[in-house]
Amino acid sequence: MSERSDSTTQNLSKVSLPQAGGERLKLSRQTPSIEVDRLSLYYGDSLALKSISLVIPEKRVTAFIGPSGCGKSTLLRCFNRMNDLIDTCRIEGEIRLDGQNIYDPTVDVAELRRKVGMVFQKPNPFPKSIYENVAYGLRIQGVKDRRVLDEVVEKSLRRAALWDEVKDRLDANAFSLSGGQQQRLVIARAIAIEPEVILLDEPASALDPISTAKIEELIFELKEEYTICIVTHNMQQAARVSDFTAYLYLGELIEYDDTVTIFTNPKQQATEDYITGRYG
Amino acid sequence: MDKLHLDQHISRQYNEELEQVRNRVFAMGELAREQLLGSLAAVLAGDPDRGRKLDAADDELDDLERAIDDECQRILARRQPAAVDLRLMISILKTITDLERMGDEAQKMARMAIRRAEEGTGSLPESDGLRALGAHVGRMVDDMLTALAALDAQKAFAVCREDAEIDAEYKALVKASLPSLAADPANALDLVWAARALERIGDHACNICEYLIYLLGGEDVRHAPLDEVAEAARKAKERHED
Repeated sequence: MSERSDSTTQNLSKVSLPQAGGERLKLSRQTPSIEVDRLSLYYGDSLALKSISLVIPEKRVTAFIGPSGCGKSTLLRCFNRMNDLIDTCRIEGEIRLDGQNIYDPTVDVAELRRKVGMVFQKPNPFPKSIYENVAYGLRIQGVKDRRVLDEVVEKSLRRAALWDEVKDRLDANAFSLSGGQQQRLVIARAIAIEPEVILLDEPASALDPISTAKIEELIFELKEEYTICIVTHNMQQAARVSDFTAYLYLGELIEYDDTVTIFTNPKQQATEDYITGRYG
Repeated sequence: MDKLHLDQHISRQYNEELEQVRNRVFAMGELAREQLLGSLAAVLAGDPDRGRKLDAADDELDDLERAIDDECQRILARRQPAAVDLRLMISILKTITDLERMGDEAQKMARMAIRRAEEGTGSLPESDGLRALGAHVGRMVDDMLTALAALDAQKAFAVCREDAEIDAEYKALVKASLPSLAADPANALDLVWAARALERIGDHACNICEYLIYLLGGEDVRHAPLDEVAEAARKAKERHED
C-alpha cells in the first residue's frame, strides 16, 4: 500500500459509480411499518418469545433467521394475528402497524389480515381456476364487475411474474401448475387485495433452485410497493433477498441489523456462530 | 453483455452488481494508465507541478481499491457466487491489487520529478531509452485494458508475451547506463529507478492478464512457462467460441 499523500488531492477523473453488492442501509433511517414493542408470547406456560422489540421498515425486506424452534415463525404469525387461532396462546406487549396496536380489542382481524397478507411454505392454492384464485379476495369483498376483476387478475399475475406463463390458460385448475408457479400464484392472490405487508413463511423451501431464484427475484421486485417479512431457515436466502436481518435464538432477538452487516461483521458472537455454521 | 453471460442471472440485481463492480475495475485501470503516462511525462520533462498532481492522485486509486474490495466482500457474503462468478470475484480482487501497485510505481516516478526539481537536476538526460520503454509499457497497459474489457484470452496472452520483451529492454537499458554510473551517478541511478518502475508496471499488467486467462478458462497460469500460458489462453478462447 502506498503512503498517504499530504498534498491536496486533485482528482484526475473523479470516478462516481453506484455501489455494487447492495446498499448499506441504516436501520435508524427507515420509515417504520411494524413496531414490535416488548412482545412476549406464551404457549400455555411456555415462553416462546421473550420481550422482543424491533422496528420493521416500510418497503424493505426483513428476514428472520434462526434454528428450528427459535420463534421466528411464531413472531411472523403475530403480525397478522394468526396465533389467535391457537387456544393456549397468549401475548404481552404491543405490535403496532402504522402506529395502531393490532392487538387492540377494537381491531377487526379480517381487516388486519387484508392489510397483512401471508404466504406459506407449501403453496396452498384453492381448488379453483387460476383466475378464480387471484380474484378470490375481491369476490369475498363483493366485487362483481368482470372488468375490474379481469384487470386486477392480470395486474396481480404480472406483478407476481406469472402472467406470461398462464395468460392462455386462466381457466385451468391451479393444481395444474408446477410448485414454483403455484407459489407465485399464491403471491398473486395475496397482492390482489393490495395489502401493505406480505409475510412469507419459508416461501421457497419446497421449491427447486430455479423456482427459488424466481421467487427471490419476485421478492426483490415486490418491495417497491410492499413491506416484506420473510422467515427462512436458509440463511443464504436471507443474505440474498433481505435488506435487514434479525437473528432469533430460543425466543430471544439476538441481533438485528442491516443484512450486509449481519453477514460480514455481526456484533454478537452467537450470530456469527450461527451464520458460519458453528452453531450447535 | 459478454461471453461469460454475466448478465443472465435470474436476479437482475445480481447482474447489475457484477456489472457495476466490473465498471469500477475498468475505471481503476484507466486511472492507473493515466498515472503511468502522466508520471513518466513528468519525470522526462522535469515537471514538478505535474508530478505533484499525480502524486496526490494516487489516493484516488487507493480509494477505488478499497471501494471494490468492499463491493466484492458484499457480493461474496450475499450472493455466494459459484463457478464463473466466483472466478470473477477472485480475479477482480487480485487484479485491483496489481492496479494499485501500478499506481504506486507511477507515484515513484511522480515523486522523482518533484525531488529532481527541488534538487535542481530537472529533466532526465539521456532518456531516449526510458522514453521508448515507457511507450512500450504504455501500449502493453492499453492492451491489458482492452483484453479485460473484451474478455479476450488471446490478447491477454499477447500481453504476457510482451512482458518478456519489456524485461529484456529493461536489462539492456540498465546495462547501457552502467558506464554513466561512475561519471554521473545521480542521473544514472534515477534513470535506472524510473526504468525499474516501468518494468514493474509491465509485470503487473502481465499478472492481470494471467488472472483474466484464469477467469476465462479456469486454469491458473501464474508462474507457468510461456508455452503453457499460450495453451491455456487458446483453450480459454475455444471455450467461449460458439
